[in-house]
Amino acid sequence: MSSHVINYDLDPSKRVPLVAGNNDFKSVTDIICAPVEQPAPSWWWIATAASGSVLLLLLSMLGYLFWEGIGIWGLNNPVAWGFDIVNLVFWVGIGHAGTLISAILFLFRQKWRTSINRFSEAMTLFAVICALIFPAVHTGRPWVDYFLLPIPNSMAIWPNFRSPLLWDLFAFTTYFTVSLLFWYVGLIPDLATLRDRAKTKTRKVVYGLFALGWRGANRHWQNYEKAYMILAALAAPLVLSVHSIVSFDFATSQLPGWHTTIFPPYFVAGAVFSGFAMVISLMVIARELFGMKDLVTMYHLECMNKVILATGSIVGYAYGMEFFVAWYSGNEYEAFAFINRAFGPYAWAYWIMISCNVISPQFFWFKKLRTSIPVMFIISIFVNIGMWFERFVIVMTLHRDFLPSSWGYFRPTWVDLSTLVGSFGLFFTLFLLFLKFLPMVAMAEVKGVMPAANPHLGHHGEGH
Amino acid sequence: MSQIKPESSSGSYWRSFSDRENGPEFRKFLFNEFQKGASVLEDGITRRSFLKLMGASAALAGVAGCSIRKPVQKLRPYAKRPEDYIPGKPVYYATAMQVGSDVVGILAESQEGRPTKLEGNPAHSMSWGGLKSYHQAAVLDLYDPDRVFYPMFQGENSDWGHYETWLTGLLSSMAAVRGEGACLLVDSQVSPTFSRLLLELKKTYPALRIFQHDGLHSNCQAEGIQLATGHAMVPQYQFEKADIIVSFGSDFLGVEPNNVSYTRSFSERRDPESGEMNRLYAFENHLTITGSKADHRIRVKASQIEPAAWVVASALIRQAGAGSLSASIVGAIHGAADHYRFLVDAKVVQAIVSDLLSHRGRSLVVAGTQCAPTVHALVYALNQILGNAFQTVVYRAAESSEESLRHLSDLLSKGSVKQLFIVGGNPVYNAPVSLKFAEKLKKASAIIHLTHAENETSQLAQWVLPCSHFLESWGDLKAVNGSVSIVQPLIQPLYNSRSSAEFLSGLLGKADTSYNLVRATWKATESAWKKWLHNGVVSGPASALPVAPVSDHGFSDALNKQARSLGKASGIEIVFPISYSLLDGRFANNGWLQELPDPITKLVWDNAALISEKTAVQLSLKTEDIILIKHNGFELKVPVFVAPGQADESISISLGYGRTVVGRVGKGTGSNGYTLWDGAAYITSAQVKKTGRVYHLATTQNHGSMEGRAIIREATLETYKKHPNFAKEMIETAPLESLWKERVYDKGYQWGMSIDLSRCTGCSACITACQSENNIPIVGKKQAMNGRVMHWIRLDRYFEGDVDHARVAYQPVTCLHCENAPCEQVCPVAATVHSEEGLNDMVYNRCVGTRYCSNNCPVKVRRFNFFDYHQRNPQSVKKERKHLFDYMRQPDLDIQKQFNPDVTVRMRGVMEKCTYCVQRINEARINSKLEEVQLVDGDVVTACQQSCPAGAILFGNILDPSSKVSKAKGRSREYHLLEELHLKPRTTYLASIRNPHPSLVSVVEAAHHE
Repeated sequence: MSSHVINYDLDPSKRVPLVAGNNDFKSVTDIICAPVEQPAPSWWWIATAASGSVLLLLLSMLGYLFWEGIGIWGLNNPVAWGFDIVNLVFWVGIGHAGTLISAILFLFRQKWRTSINRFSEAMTLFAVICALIFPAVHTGRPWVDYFLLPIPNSMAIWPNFRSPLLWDLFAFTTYFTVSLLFWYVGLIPDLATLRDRAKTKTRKVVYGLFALGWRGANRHWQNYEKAYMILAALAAPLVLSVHSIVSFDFATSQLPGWHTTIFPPYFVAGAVFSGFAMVISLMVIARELFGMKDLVTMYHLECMNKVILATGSIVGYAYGMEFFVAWYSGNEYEAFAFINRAFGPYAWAYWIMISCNVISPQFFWFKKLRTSIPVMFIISIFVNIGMWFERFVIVMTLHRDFLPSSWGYFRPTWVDLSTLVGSFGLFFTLFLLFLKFLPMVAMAEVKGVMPAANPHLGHHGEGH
Repeated sequence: MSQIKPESSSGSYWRSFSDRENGPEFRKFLFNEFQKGASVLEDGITRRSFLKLMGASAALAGVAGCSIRKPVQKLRPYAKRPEDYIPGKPVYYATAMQVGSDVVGILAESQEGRPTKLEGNPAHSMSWGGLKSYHQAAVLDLYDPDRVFYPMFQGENSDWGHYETWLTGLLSSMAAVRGEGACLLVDSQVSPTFSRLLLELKKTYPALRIFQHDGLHSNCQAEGIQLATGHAMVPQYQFEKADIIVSFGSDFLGVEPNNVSYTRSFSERRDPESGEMNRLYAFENHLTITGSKADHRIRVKASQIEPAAWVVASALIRQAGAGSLSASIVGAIHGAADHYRFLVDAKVVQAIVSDLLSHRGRSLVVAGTQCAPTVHALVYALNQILGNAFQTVVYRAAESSEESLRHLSDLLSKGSVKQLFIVGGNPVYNAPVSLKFAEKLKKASAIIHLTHAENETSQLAQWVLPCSHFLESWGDLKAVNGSVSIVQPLIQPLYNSRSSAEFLSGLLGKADTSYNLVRATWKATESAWKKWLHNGVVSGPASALPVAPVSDHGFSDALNKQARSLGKASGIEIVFPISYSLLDGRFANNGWLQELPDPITKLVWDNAALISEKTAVQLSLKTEDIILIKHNGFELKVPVFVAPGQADESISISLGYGRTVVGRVGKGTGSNGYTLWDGAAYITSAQVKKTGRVYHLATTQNHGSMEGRAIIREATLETYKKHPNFAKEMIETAPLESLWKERVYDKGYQWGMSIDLSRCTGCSACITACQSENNIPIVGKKQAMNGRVMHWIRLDRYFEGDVDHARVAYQPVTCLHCENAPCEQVCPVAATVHSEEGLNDMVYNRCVGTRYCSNNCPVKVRRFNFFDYHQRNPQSVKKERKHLFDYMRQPDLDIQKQFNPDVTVRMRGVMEKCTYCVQRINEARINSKLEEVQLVDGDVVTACQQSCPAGAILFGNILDPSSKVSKAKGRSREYHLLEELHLKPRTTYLASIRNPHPSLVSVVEAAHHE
């Protein structure tokens, strides 16, 4: 990873190698299959037990919620949304990196994505699962949530198509479905590899079942590539749409501080920002534990850090622009909402947000820092905290709106906090299961970007 | 008959072709009636397999029994419908209610025999249709499950039979000594029947002593006027005729007697379009709702209210002459005033005096009923000088009052009380503290207490007897203006209770029913009786007494004495106002009133020590710090609440809280001010110490400033006359357009509301009216602290100006029924939609509970059922488990009887809000359709509008140009709340107008713009 290599050189072989070390196809397969095939290390059992317990916490909190009603949360009259929506937006945001890496970077032919796309797609799915819990259970009567579905009925009652919450429903389910399909389609060749390498009957059958009879035939590959391309093309606009629609929940309302046109792009940038940060947090640990430093190289991490720097700066710009517009619009309620954010009762949250989201990524301007594992890990954690607080700050705009008589203050209860913590339990449990049972790096794709896969290997300079 | 032989179906009639063919297949089918899958027990069944089957079916039956099947419950419909009874149609009965000595006429709504709601009787001259919160909440007391259910003897359940046997023995021994040693303690009695029985009792037992004590009663007015005239009289004010009102510590709009009719007549004159506006100067210690409506509020501490009156009186006499006042009185007034000229700004005094003098006969000076007699004497004299008597104030003889509690206390300490009969009241709780009444009570050999619910007094009684609620028994009441009403019951006593008249009749050795007792008093013909019952009024106001000239019946002496004693008053004063909701503690177990925000502090479920900011800084106190107050060896721990407008070095503690023997609702609420109270309105030289501990208080409004936003729009009368459209001009908006095609509402009935902020006094009666009409639950203190109070209408209260001289503005806010309702657009399931008549409807069944509507509501009037609050009420009961899915709790079965059957009881997880009383609109519409007429103005009256004693709320069809509401909406001071959002609200406001004295206007305006 010498710094003088030019990464946009027309000759791929002159670029920074995407797979480091002295690896060939077999060693790549061995490295990736090892965690799946070898007995789980003790740390995996400990981690799974720990996150499983946290998952149990989530389940018990949800049980308590159904039994008692959402009064167990800290919500109140001006602040009718709290941790439920904050967590929803937080997890959906994290769920953005996966599709971005898989689909958009795929379409832009960013080959460095191959080592991290599986991993981040899985993260996307699990994050979206975590996110979807919240809108489902945050309603007062979750047992009638199905009223939101446009089910034909004899009374001809439809949901309200003007409501952004309904758009959310469609956006989330679409996003989840497409992400799941995309992830699964990408998995098929690798599942076949696992099937072929399986030593027990059960593994053979289970992986075989999900490999859908993949034989690696030419036609398979052709169809696969086409399907993958189409799904990528379908998924790409979703990266933009989902978080835009999430932002509509706020932007189309008329609450000062929510009702701003900047929200869709700013939310998308924020989502990518937080998603990449989460990938970094997880990847830094995983590549260490599974010895995959050759596959997920410093170059990959650096690329992601650059994305974090870019999106973090966009987010910072949006924060500034919000203030400017609030002042420039001459709307007293709008101006008040922003001054109140920065200097009102929730100023602490606002300044946590600013320090984590705007200041901390700026360290990535320095190559030394953005290629330092401890620095990037710490910054990625900060970004995740900051992005959670960003959503918190936005939702808490509710606490002071038009009439000062109805101003209030939201204090989370222990249930709010436990549910938030519990959602991490669900996320990590799913993630640990993924690490154990599925190949965390896309074998087939990584091989495709190795020098060995280049038909012109050793013939460079001849041109075409 | 025998010839006709019914033919068997298998004979000639055939069921199908296969039947006719009668082949083997068909025969087999007939044999195997139950086809595939059904097994038929063959002959070869063993005992073993039979038992197996039986066991399995028994087990299955058990499963079914515990979960699915409901047990049989029988419905018993009327075999014969009672006359005039239409199921589902409420019937209204006229009755009357007494609170202290205050009487209001009531129309009580009865739903299938259950009284559900109380409304003011428009024909009654003391209510004019309006009611206060505590009147309306009385219906909840009827069903209070913490009432006394049956007579109790020494703490054990007993019955009336046992009591009567016991009483017979007692009465014969009493008769032997002509009632020597027997005492009767009654609360305020304004019932002619009761008075008649008291006289009879006195005749039967000549030595019987009768005492009177009522937490709401003050004798100061009568005593004061006696000082000035020699006659015990009480005033009745006619605010509708008064242009200039000067109040010395009076809260005539608040809880003082006659406040309902006073609110109406005062508010009539706050409306700048319907005649000349009045002007109110108020001298007061803490902010009251009267002070908040004042055009000039002068903050003086309680002990200086009287000196302020001297200053004003002295200045007035100097300019107007002393009239018929004797030189001794005049001298005393001037002498007393001389030391206190610094108290009131000379400009203010001059303004008051010039106003009073230029409005002779059209002005009014009033004093708080709790003020010392000398103040009342002075006020009487001032009104006399100004020629106001018979113009703006009339006088009537004070009801001859019985001996006071102090005398009883003396008797008790002498040990000469054998039997003490206590009718109602709670003297152990609310007696002056220095009497040590509870200790002395132990010296009586037998105490018999007739009471609604167990309290501090009944705990010391040998016999506790259940007293009937006024909706359960016959009675009669005479109001202060002499008008008499019959108290008509709406329901048989729910429990084994007796009315106070029946109790007295028992003491006379008779067992007359309350009906017979009342009939015996009035001896009316049947037709007259029926008319009285129908109208709710027997006779109108009695004529007033002639004006008595001021003569010195100890007035000047008392004044000199008072001047000397007040000169010594120093240190921190503790003032004891009556609570706006619990009054003297009689409503402590009433959830609606406990959760009714105090109009000024917005505190719920607690009282607090109100203290000015300056004094708080001096004592280094802040809101919620607990202080220890010591005075004369008595002490009280109470949390502090820093209150704007409070006089310095003065602490106000509402009475009525901190009850110890009280039902489940009132338990643990507030601090008991009576532990310091010694009969007077205030005490001086109290020691205040910070304890270092903190007690959390719940308020429903945490932010009191409007932040410079044009929410409540207000102007002086002068500004208003110059700029009639000032309210509309306070906001400039670009032409507004809707994102959607706007619906046009130009047909049928289009409902709208207009709220006149100039009339509104902030009394909060509308909140309780709405609560009782719409089955709104109480949520309790903890939930209230988290902003989850469910009231559909709230009274926003804002302070303006500097903290000490804060001016107060009120705004009732309820769903505005915006035509462009932001809530409707965002509901994903269309659970809130617009009706053709312009109502923003809430469909509870459809509501999923996303709460998005609430977030998008700019006025935050939507209320969410975070829990099932009816189930969480402290009085709720465990439901009898009939099947697995039965909820664990339900509202108390008696409380359920109060529920309005026309309004859905909302469950947990749904949003709710003001419906414009849609049930009333629908009922009126249905009636009009049946009668084939159009609804006219006044056919639909919302609950808040009905109760409003100030007449501030108007409701009706805004398409009808002759309706009151459209006329109000046509006024120039009408404005839309948050107009810049293009909500097109159906509820609009009329800006508040104040009428300050022109020479003082700069002061007010300066404060306004501060």
